[in-house]
Amino acid sequence: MTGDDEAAFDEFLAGGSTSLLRTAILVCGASRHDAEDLVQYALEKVYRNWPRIRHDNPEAYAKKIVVNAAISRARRRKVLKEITFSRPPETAADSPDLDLRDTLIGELRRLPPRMRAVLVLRYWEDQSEQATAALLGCSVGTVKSQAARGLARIRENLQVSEEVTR
Amino acid sequence: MTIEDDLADAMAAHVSGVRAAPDLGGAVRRRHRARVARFRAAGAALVTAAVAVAVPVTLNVAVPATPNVAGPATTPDAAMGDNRAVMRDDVIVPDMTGKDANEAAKELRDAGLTAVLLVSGQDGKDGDRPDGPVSRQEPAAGTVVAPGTQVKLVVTLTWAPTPQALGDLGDGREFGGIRLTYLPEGLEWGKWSDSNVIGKDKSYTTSYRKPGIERNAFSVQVIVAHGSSADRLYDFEFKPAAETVDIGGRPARLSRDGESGPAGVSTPTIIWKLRDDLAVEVCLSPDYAKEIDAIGELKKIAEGIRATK
Repeated sequence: MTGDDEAAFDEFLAGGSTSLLRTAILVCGASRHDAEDLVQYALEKVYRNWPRIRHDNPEAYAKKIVVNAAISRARRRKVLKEITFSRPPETAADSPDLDLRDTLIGELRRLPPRMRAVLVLRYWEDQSEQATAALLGCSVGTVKSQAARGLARIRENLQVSEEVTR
Repeated sequence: MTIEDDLADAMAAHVSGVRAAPDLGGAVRRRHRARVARFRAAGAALVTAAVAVAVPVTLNVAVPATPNVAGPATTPDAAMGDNRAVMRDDVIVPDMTGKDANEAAKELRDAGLTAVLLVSGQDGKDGDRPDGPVSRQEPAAGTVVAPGTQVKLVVTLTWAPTPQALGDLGDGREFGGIRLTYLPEGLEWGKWSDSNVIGKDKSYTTSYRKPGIERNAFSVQVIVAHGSSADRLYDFEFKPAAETVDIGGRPARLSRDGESGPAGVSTPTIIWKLRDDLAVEVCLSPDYAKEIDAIGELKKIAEGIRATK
C-alpha cells in the first residue's frame, strides 16, 4: 500500500464507517460491541484488498461484506440461542409500556437474519430491490418475497401483542 | 404511516446515536497485522465464546417432595416458587463429550443445568457454524454441582475447506523457498498451507502439528515472505517488545508472545531475515509452547532453516 492508498482508505473510513456500523447493528441484531467487531472484520478485508478495489466502489464492497458477515454471524448466534436459550416461559412478553419503536426493533430482531437484512437494506437504507439483491447475492424475486413476508410477520406479531395487552 | 415507514423510523431511531469510533482506522490496521500472524493461531484457544443466558431452574427432576408435606411449620409460601429450587438436591454433571451439541444442551437443561457453548477455532468465516460433537466439557462428568450451574461445552466449528495453496508438500519441510532442517520430535506436517498472506510480493505459510490434536489446530507455524513482503513481515511490531537474538549471524526478533492474545495465552514468535529479501517467522501455538522448552526450540527451528534458492 502506498501512502496515497493509506490516505484514501482513511478518507473512505471517515465517509462510510458510521453507516456501516449502523447497518451491522440492525442486520445482526447484536450489541454495539459485536457490530463493531463485525465492521472491523469487514474493513480488514477491505483494507487487505484496498489497492485493488479502491477505485471500484469500495462502499458497496464493504457493505456486502458487512451484511453477509452479519447474516452469517446472526445465524450462528441463532443456532446457539436455539440450543441454549429458548425464552424462559415465565418471562412476560414485551411489556406493554414499550413504545412502538422498541416493539418494532424487537420484532425485527426475531426475524431470520436474511429476512431482516432485506428489511434493513430496503427500508432503512432505502436501497432498490436490485441493489439489495446484488448486496445479498440473491434474486430480485427473493428480495421481494422476503420483504413482503418480513413485513407481514411483523404486522401479525404486532397485532397479536396488541390483542394480548388490550 | 405504513408499517414500512414505522419500521424505517424505528430503525433510524435505534441507531441514531451510533457513531464509528474515531480510531477505527487504527483498529483495522492493527487487526490486519495481527491477522497475518494469526491465521492458524487460535487452534486450541477458545476465541468465540457464545453468550450465556441462564435457563431458569424450574425442573422437578430432583425435587424431594411435593409442597406442603414438610409438616405444619411450612407456610404455603415457603413451598412455592423460587424456594422450591433452593430445596433441590445437587445435580451430578452428566458426560456430554461426544454428543451432538443440540442434544447435549437439551439434556443439560433437562438435568437442571445451564449449557454454555464455546466455539473452538479461529475467526469464523462465512458459512462456518458450530456443529458436531462436544469435544470437552467443564466441569467434568460426575462432578456434583448446584442446580443451575453452568456447564461449558466446547464445540468445534465446521470449517470452510482448508486452504491448500501449495498442494501436497510431502513432509512439508520444504516450501516457499526455504527448508526446515530441524523440527521438534513428534511433529508432522499439518497438511495445510496458504499463500499471499502478507504484502504484495510472494509469501507462504504452512504449519506442523502433533498428531492427534484438534483438527485445524497447529503446533508450529512458519511464514515466509519475499521482496517487499519480507519487510512487512519483519517489521511486525511486537507487544510487548521483542528481544534481539542472533540466528545464523543475523539479528532476529524474538517475542515470548507474538500476538497479544487473551490473558495467559502466549504464542512465542521469532522473526528474522535469511537474506535481505527473505524474511521468516516461526511461531508456536500456546498449547504446544507450554509442553516444550518454547524459546529454546524456537531458536533451534530458526537456526535450522535454510534458503533453497
